[in-house]
Amino acid sequence: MTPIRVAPWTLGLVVMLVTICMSPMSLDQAFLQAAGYATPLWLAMAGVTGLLGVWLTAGLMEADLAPWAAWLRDALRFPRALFYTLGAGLMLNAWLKVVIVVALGRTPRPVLALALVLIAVYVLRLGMESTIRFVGFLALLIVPAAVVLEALGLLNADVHRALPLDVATVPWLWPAILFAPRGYTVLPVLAPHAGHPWRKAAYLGVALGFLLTFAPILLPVLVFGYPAAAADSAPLFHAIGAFSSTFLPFQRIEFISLISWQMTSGAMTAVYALCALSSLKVRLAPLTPWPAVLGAALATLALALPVWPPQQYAEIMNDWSIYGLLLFFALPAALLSLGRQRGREVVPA
Amino acid sequence: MSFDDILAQGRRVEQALAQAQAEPDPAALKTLYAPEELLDVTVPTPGGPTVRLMYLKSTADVERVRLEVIGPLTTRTGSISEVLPRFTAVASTLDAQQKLLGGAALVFCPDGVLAADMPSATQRSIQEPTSEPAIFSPKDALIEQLDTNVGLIRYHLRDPRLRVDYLSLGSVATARAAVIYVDGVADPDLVDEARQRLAEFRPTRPGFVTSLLRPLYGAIWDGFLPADFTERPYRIADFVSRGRLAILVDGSPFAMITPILLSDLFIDEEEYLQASSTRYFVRALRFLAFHLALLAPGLFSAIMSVNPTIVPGLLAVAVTSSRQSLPYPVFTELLVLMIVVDILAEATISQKSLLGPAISIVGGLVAGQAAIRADLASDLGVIVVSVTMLSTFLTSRAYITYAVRVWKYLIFFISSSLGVVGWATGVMLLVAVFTSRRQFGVQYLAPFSPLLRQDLGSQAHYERGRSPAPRGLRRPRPAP
Repeated sequence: MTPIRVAPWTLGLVVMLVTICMSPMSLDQAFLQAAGYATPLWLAMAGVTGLLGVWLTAGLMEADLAPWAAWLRDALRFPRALFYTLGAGLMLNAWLKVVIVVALGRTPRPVLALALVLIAVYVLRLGMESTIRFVGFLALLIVPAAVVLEALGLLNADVHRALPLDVATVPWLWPAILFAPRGYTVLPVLAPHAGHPWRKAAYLGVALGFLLTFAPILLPVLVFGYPAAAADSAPLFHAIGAFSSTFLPFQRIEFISLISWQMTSGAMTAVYALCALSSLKVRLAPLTPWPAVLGAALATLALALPVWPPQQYAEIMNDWSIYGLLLFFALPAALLSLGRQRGREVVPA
Repeated sequence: MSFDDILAQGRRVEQALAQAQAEPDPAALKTLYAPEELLDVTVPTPGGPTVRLMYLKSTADVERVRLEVIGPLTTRTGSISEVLPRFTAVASTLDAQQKLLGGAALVFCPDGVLAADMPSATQRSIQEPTSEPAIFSPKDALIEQLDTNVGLIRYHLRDPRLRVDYLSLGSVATARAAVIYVDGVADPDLVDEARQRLAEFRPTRPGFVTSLLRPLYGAIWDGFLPADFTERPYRIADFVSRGRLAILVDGSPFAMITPILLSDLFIDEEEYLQASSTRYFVRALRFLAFHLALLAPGLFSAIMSVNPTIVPGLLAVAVTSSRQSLPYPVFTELLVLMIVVDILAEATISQKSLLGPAISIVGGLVAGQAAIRADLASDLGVIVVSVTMLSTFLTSRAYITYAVRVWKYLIFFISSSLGVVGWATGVMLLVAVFTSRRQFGVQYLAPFSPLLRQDLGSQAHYERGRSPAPRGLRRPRPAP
């Protein structure tokens, strides 16, 4: 069997997209409501967490661990699969919410879910390399489109609407956890297949993705002001939709953000489903039923979760984030510090 | 079919195999062809045995046989191998049959059966390409004869590293094929893999270069062919000099180029004459046209059917007033128009020089105008469908237009159902198809997917001979 190879810079693009998408993009309203607590200190810590996550993943991949720690590292693949599955389900759910609010309110939810899940299952059946290339290529389309859209959205911005800067008196951990870039969570599965310089690409992906995650929060505040933005059901889309042009063939451009959002969600569902299946060492091939089984499970999960109440969704997302931090940050750090194997250097004859 | 029938069939196959593998028998050969076609001549040799000469009048050059076989046999002395040094031994009846069909002369002598190719020199003259018109670049085109075609390619690429590997395709019906590449520039793994796959190929009708697609690439359901087909030797030389392989089959006036990238479709050698700014402008135009052809009807239908609020107010009023007397929705209008225009295009293509212009005028101008006047189509719908069809034919390769036309419908259906969300789903499906495409280890979307930073410059500018073909993650050896 030919080895699976992932180009390092494609991996960087995937990491960046995961960082952007599994952060405020999917729950902009919840973030806005919590934004008052996000002090610069906690935000900086969130950024450092993301970069440290890459470093820890690389360390854990290469470390010579004590037998118990190595066994534990292998056993982590089951909880990881759960994390990825929940992540894909949450992403699908967030996508459903936006599509229902912004575009297709009268279309049955199962039909919508099917449109995305079928794409994800089709891509998964093409194999890991194809899925990664698919996500990487979509990232090349999505990120520039998002930057242009947000730049156009800024034409309606007024800095005075963000003043006075609301700095919390009591810093709270929650926004920092939610803000933490999560690109590194896909690395335990994908990095072993990537060539040099995947670390550089991953660090860049996390850092750029983290910087880009601020736009979805800032733009609605700058366009509508904080109180109106926090009360909106889809603040980012409406902030972009507020831009109106007379010189383009399209008066309103939020449909482009909807297209980007659709592509983002498809890419994220595919990449998290891929990570879930790969964690369970499921071989992806056109004839295996597992992508379809996982797709059906994801669709059920996305449909079972409540779509409307943002607070409830944010709480689920919060629990998922803490679970991810434990799994991809705290546990690897503990294993690396406690489980190092010493005194086993091979002495040349 | 009964068991006895199967047994009888098995026996017949066994007999045929045994016959095919047996030593060539002139009597058996004579039963296969009419006496008017198979010439069986007994030639006395001076001081030696009488030999028997056989050849097909339809495939061999009779004059050459007279000069190169009968002449030496009747005048020179010595052993047959000295008199006819070009002749090689024929092992089996099947081999002898294939030699005869290929235009060889067979000599039956006490030493065994010998054969040498003397194919009839009948061939059409080298003409201008019909499917890829040339304005500024060389105007010659491939013909059916393999050797002539190889000569044309060598004429355009006088590189001592150019290698031509000949092989025979098929087991019963056979055809000669040639794999052409530049040694040291083409990836040797690629060359070996292509040769191996072709050697394993046992086609029933090997005389068409397009019949090689399946053995080389497997089933292609999405319509986007993973290889380029051209009839221009100049284009073949250009590709080969950049590390690609050209595969030619005797009897086919087209060459298959492999591997290719999607970006190859937007490039034409004619552009090398232009200044770089003009060249990039034309390529950008082709790139835009390719996407318009695929995506424009879908996007139009999505916006007008599901998300009409995003167009400017004045435009929305214009569209509504243009459509107000139409009895059906945008989806039906566009679907009917697209089908009609596709029929028109197909009719024009199939009747190229004879009735093509007449069909265009009747179909496009007369029927189109009449449809608008009869309120069966809106002006905007006609514009969208016309621009789509014009864009389809702007790609520099004719064969890719079929895939574009089919995918246009698929994306149109999804978009009409789910609006821009469906349109994005269609685009994602297209991206999935392109990103999963791989030919001999080369990615169709390289160097954008996978993102190969070091190849981006060479591919984006894509000058002639500047760099060998990117091999995806398997990079080629640099040219010496």
